[in-house]
Amino acid sequence: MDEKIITSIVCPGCGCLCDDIDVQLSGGSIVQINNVCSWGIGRFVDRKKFANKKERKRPDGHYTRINGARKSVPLDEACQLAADVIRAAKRVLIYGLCQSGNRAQARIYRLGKKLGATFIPSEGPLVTMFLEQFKQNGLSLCTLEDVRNRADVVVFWGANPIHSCPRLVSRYALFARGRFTERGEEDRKAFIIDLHPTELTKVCNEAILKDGDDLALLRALRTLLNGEKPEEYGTVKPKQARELAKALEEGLYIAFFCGRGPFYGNDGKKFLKEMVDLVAYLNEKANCVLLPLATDFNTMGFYHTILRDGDCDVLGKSLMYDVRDWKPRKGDVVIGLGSDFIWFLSDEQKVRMRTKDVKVISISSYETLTHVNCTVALSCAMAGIEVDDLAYRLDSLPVKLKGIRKPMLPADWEILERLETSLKI
Amino acid sequence: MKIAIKNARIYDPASGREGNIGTVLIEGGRIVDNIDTAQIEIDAEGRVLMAGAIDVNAHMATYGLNFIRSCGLLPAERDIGEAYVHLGYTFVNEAFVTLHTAAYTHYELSSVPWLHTSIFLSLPLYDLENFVRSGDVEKCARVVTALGEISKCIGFRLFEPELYYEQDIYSHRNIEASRLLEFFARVADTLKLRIFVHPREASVSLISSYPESYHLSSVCELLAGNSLKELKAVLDSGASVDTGFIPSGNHLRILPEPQEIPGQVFKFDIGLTHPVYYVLASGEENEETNKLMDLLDASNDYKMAFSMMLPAKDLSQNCASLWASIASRFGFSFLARITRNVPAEILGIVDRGNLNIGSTADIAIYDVETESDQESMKQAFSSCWCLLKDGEIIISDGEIVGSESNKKTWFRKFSDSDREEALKILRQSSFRPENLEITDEIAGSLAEISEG
Repeated sequence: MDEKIITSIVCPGCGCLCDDIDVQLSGGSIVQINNVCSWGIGRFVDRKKFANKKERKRPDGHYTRINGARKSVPLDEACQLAADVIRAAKRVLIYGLCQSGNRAQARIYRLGKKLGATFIPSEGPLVTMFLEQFKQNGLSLCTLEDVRNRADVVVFWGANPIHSCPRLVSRYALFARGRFTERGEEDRKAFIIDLHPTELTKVCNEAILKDGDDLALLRALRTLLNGEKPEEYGTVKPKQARELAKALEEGLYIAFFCGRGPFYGNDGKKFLKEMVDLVAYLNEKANCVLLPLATDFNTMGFYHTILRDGDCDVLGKSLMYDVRDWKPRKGDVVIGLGSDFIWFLSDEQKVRMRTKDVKVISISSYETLTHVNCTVALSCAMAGIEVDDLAYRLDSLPVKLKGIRKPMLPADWEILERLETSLKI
Repeated sequence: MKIAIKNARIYDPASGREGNIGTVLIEGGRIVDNIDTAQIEIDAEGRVLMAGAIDVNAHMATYGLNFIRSCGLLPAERDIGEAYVHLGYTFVNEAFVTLHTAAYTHYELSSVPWLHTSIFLSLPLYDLENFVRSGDVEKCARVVTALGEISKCIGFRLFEPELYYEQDIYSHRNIEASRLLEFFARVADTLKLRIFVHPREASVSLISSYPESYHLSSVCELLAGNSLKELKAVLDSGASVDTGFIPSGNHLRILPEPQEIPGQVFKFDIGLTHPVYYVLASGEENEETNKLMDLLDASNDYKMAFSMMLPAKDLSQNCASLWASIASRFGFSFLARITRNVPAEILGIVDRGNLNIGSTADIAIYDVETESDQESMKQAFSSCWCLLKDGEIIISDGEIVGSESNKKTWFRKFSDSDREEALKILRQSSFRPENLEITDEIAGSLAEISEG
């Protein structure tokens, strides 16, 4: 049996894009993976996330629907059918975009622009909102390397990295030993602000539980930092808020990781605006950075694709924050790239999709709910496992993804090129 | 392809041509002295011909700039590429890169169409500190070259060495800036390359002690203070400088340290001594231009290059306006010298930036005459009539016709490097060293710079 070990592979599991994965292959199959987290294992050996005993089904070809029944078709025919569906569309929406390599992102962005499509990145509710704030109020960013080397106060706000970027805490943010944080967690103060106790509750200095009142806590912190006594702390214990304020006051390098948590309520935009203000205030006397904790492995890749293009208007015009804002209309066609978008829809949206006869084209490596039920299913190989590509870490540093397993299907970017050819645009 | 460009008024001080009418012959992408039959003949009568321009110091793809693009404060990479080629540029060097952001910058640069690109690596002072303490110049130079090979750069930069050692709260940071500069001057001498320094006002005079070892970048910023005299002393000593360019009107500006900044601030920490701040500033019309002119005025024999630094929104108009002022005040030869000859010399690119026989055929032709008025010059400089890169026509009759993707990322192959020692440094990082190595997948088509 042909055996080999490939070292320093990048894991396309989450935004950490850990580059220290060593893989042992036997006869082309992965038999051992070192340094990988539970989530990453799922990626490498087609298992479900955090449930590694359950298989995650992969498609074996391309499909269309004839009289409701799923029928296998060759790739060229599937692309032609998809092109016909797109040509007949009154409006094209492109959802997902964050779980694909940058090659595919660049091609679908080019295609979408030609089609006048609306883009709905799966991480839009978090990252698009951040970009809007940055546009108005500036920003303070750093690489994860700097968090690792310098951050002495780390705050996870509405974010549980164990579930979104599992190795963030060990590689960069909490336990990691950096240049000025040689003792790892002993050199850091860590806080988690969340609705419920999480895995991090046990290892952070303070676990602040709140009941959706992020804004109240934020304002209390700002008041405390001004040396005044807040009138209210929301549902947070005053002692905990004071502890956090004290750490922020004493910290030399403060890193905020912000998840989607605070943005679910109506105060999301207000929260972020005041958060950016707080970061600017803290920056007057120390270093303070604010990083959105995006989960999908190449979220920043898509945003860099559009920003590089200088398409700043796209943020206002053709970029929708959240798929839940979408109201299905007759003539809508949705292209899902590396996503299971039906899974994220409300029941009302699903009903409207059916009544308005919305067509769906899915480009996916997995047999997701969307892929199985779509009008045309274009199945692709996995970037970073089966084909080479490039992805941006959550701090926007790009890394190469290496295909280590023989692909049975074409890469997503190849499919998109064929689709563009079929569309003749 | 054999090309003959005839009847052009040629300005290239490097090859001794100061406005004489002549012919430039091209074969196989290089300037030759003879061809049998030209496949393409270009009649450049009444037009000015120079080598393709080179920017030694541009910040157009450094870490974080894409976020600033989201605010519309910086042109798209494609627009920057377009503006540069219309100005007659063929080569741009991005000089603000660290080991960790090299992949980011190279990947971004690969999206800039038409232009050849390269990077300068900011030296990781934290990691090289022990060499400074031990005084082991040779070993440090070998490690630096190994880091350069990994990041595929063509040169090196010291990022404000004086600031790191100012931080008195760290008792172990007791290396004086003067000692550090003396050490890296010896490293530069060993490498036979000038190290770029973006100095603060206070350290300009320190650097003048090592005129052959350092290059002062973006000195235009220093003119905001009262450093003209010090700068002239540095130039007198033989050091090279690039101007940087602060356009009039609203523009982005890089600030080296926090200060009271109104409005939007974009702060990026990329592992240097301190974060870098980008702010939106506004400049009085001609204010900075006049200061730059003051510096240029006395600079005929100086090693001074014109550089763009942060490409502004109206890059081609802004720059062309300044070039027109320079050409009408100091002449076309002077303009060719500071935008072509000297930049190539500073970057150590022997076969570009000049029209010597055997040089690469990077040629810009402007529809302008020496006696044209400033407005006509501005129009001509902002829209190059014809541009050739590597002997391929990029712009013809003012229109871009060349292939976007026919471009390369240039790097320097160093002769003596200590990769093992460099890997020890890289292993301190969270990246595996092999993943920091820049390859074609990241940088597009990599090509080694010819050392002549």
